[in-house]
Amino acid sequence: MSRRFLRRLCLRTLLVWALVCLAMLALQRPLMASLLPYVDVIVRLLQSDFVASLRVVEVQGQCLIQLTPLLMRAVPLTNELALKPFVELEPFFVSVNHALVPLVLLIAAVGSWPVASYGEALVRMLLSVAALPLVLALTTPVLLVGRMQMAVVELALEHGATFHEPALVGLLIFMESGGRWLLPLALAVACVVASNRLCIGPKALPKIIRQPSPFSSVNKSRFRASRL
Amino acid sequence: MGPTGPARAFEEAGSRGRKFRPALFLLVFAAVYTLLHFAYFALPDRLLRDQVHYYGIVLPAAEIVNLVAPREAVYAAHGALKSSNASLRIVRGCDGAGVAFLLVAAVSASAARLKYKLLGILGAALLTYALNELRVVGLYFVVAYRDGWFSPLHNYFVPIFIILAGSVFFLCWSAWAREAEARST
Repeated sequence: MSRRFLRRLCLRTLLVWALVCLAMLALQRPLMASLLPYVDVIVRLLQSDFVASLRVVEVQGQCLIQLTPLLMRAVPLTNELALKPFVELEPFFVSVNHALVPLVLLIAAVGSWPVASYGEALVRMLLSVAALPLVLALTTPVLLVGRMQMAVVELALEHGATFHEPALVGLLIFMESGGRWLLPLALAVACVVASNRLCIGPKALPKIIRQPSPFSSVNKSRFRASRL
Repeated sequence: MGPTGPARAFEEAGSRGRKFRPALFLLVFAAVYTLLHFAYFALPDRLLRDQVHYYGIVLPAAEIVNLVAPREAVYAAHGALKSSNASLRIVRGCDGAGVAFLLVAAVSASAARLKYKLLGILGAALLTYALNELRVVGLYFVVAYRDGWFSPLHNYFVPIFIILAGSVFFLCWSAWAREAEARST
């Protein structure tokens, strides 16, 4: 990688970051509203204690995802106490901006790396579109369900239960402390490498490099010989 | 045509010396990241707030704000940057540790000599510290004068920028380390 390439990459990254962030910010509300049915499916797959009523609300100019859990079965807090089924709990809120970060990061990271051809750009775009649901599934629903489970654990602790961390809370902490950045970046690298290999091929590159130039010394002498 | 992807960068790296092994990279990366993650969460809240954050982040940030805008009269409290205009809380995760851990793990897992890795880790730590300090100072002014901008900047623009800056740093460092190794052999 030359210095010129790295300088261009820095500028390109800055430009893509600004453009993608602004575009997604402008579209945050309709975009997140359209993604909520998918988030709901993942929330149902992650747990069976509650069903979630999800919607995007605006509070003091800030777009938030509101999750209102309706308990579907009794959730034990201690040996004696349990949350009753079919009761609606207090809603949880997650900022839409916060939820969009991994998606924006994937798009920005994929868009920052230069492409060799339109074909590669198309393949890369298709691969990143395929990666987006995975990123979304492992971030926002985990955060929502994890927060619900944390609230239950806190309630149980208030009633004298011993602390035990649900597995999903562990995943939530991991994702929120860096995993939600690592996942889109790793997938972006995978998309770039895969599109590069699919369109150029791993063995095509050395052949192109090793192919002798038509004006190499050997060819020049042959050219002179043929003219003589 | 210039480089078109990490695939080519990896091939170049392989042809110049140490070969890039994706499985080894992933293994070392995951091990180092997990180790740092658990070590960070093993730190008690009080130690983090009263020692690490206070002396490492809040106190220098207060000095910078007072240097730039003496009228703010900001003071460093335990876990917050305070003035008559604003109060900015600094909690676990506001220290840029997540980005620093990712970068340190990526540099540690790379196929480079120990000397270059240590320089890379030092560079990663300095970059994340500087960007985070800039973020804290910037967010203080946002809270003080443009409160409505706080959420989009804090939750959205700034983290994405810092992560992308860290990624570009990693690419620059790996290109530099590769060149330096090729020159020395």
